[in-house]
Amino acid sequence: MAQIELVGIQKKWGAVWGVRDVNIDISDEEFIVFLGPSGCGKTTTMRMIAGLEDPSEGEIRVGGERMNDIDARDRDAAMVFQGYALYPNMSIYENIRFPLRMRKVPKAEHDTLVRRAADLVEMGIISIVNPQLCPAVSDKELPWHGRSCAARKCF
Amino acid sequence: MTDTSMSGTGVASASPGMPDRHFKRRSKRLRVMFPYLLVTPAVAFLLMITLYPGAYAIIQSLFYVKFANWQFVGTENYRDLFGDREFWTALWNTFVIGGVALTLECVLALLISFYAYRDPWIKGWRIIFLVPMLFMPSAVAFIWKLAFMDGRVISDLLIRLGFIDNNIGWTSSIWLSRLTLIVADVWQWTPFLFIIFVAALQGQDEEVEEAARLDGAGWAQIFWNISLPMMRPVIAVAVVLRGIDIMTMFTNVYIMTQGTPGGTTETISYFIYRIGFKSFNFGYASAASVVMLIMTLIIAQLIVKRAFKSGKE
Amino acid sequence: MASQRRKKNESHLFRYIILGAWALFCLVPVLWFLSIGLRPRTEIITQQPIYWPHFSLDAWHMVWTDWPMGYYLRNSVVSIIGSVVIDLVLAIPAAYSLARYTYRGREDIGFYILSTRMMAPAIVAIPIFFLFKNMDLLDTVWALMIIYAAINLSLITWIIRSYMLDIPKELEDAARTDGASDLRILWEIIIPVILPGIITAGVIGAIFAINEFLFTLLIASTKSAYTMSVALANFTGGSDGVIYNAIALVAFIAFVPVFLVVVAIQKHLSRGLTMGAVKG
Repeated sequence: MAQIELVGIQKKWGAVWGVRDVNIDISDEEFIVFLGPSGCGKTTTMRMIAGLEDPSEGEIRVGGERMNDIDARDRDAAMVFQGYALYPNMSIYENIRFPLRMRKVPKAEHDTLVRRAADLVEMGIISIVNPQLCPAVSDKELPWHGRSCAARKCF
Repeated sequence: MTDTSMSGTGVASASPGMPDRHFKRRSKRLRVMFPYLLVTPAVAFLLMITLYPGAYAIIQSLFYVKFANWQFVGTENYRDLFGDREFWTALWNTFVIGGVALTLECVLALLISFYAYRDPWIKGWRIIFLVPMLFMPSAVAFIWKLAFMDGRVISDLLIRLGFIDNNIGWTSSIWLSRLTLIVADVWQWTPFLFIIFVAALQGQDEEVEEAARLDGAGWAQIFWNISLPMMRPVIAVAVVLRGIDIMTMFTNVYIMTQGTPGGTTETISYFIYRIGFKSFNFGYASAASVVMLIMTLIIAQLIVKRAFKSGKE
Repeated sequence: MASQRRKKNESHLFRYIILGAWALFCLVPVLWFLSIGLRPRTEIITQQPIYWPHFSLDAWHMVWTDWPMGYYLRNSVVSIIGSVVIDLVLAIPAAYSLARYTYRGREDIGFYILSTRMMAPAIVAIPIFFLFKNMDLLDTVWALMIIYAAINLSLITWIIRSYMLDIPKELEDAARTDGASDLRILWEIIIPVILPGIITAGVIGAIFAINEFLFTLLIASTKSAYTMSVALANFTGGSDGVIYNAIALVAFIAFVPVFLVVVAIQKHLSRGLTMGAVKG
């Protein structure tokens, strides 16, 4: 189902190699860690899986289906960003709810799902009660920002 | 999808149709075209308002236009224009008045921003110095027209201070007349440059300044050797923007001097206006417009593009 | 040590002399102009200038009774707000395209938009005059709206673009993986986040529109399109000469709201005035 295959993935910007010939087979519910020095292409590979970057060559398959031409928004992938990427114009609750709204999940289910996601990352009530907006990246970072960011991906 | 199994069944609806899901495929062409689609309305609007008039002016400049009657005259308008002393005078005036005003504004704005930016009351100064800029230019022209010419206030003040003995006829001499235009422009638009320069000075890295101070540099030295070079791109952008407006100066001429005495304060904009809408010699005015357009394009390519490129970095 | 301190105080004194002198140069003409607006007509143009005039509301009554001031005000407000709305509708997508996508011709398109700011009004004045004449739009607020929008579009696009460039790319990537379409990202994330920038762009555009003179002079010929800025230049009624006190008063009526709005967006002003090239 969520089995991910990368076949001969390459990424090149002009003459610069980003990722060179990566072949991985990740089976469903498998837990995989990419390790390596900075600049070795970990993030680029992940971005290609999520659809934020088009591979120059090679094929990405999810559940056996070729994903190369599928927009990031249609891939239903979840990704936690290095800078958290919380939407600064929304409260934490709204941040967690955002993907539900985008994927047209019935409104009635939103509240339950958001609370469950918040529980899952153990930030519990704080996200629900706290109506304050998420500050922009440069502003002060609060302890629960990383978690809210993770919670957003728990659906 | 591993998350789904962790968080329970209620979430299944978030990923509908799990067993045999199909990912939506979208038109690749649409994706490529999308940024063009976004920018098209704006560009179309601007083309309508620049390309059409540009073409119209070029065509009209080849005709002798008398009301609805267009008579083809070829390049005669251009030949007349290049032999027209009034045209060259207007061009020369524009550069002289604009050049002097722009230089003065730039020097004054740098001087004031240098003294203002470290001041504890900078916020107050900024608001005070902004005031002239926020008056309508047509009103400002009247302020100075009244002060110089009709109300003779400036002559009166100068007499009281003992600089002169009699009222000055500001529109009777070439340079005095130009001076009135320059004063009006400097008064209103030095703030424009000041606001930009102060922001640039305040935005510079304080540590660099502190390091320079530890090295024994005084404020003036820091300004001259560190701040000023760092501000160069900012100054370029600001001066270019101000320069464009100054070279198209119209309102002040229209209200204050109307080109007197003898066309020595007539700018190129006023020249086109006068030929077109006072003498109704549209073909001739269009020829002047085309010449001005070509000059604008050259300046835009050579200077403006470069200024904005360096401003970005 | 003592001499050091004295030197410092002297430099402070010098600084305040410079700043104070400039402040006087800025404000004295304004205050004097205000006094013109509040004095009777007989005390404006005299043999000897009068520095302490009698207080009078002549000009105020004249402006509201002898002239259709309400019309001028309405024309200004309608044409300016209309032009800013047109500009925002056109500029926000354009700026988004220029700030966030890479495609062939992007630089040229961006520079073309910028270069329309360089176009002197006098160059296009005659063709625009005939264009509106043929469209039967002379002397209407619609023509003013279109022309103000055209003048300000480059400015507004570039200001908004500069604010968009400041938003971390990650934010959009996150929204995309969350399933949002490009337009949704623009509407739900980009626009709310750069709202101060959009307001700045609108305000600066509005100020340029208030100031516009040449086009308005050509387009407007009666009270149905006269704006404040051009109406004011027409208070030069024949034998009466220039009616300065009315001009001064109208100038202040227009000045007050502009001043308040600008003070409110002060922080963003330098960035707006340089079309985003300087980050204040």
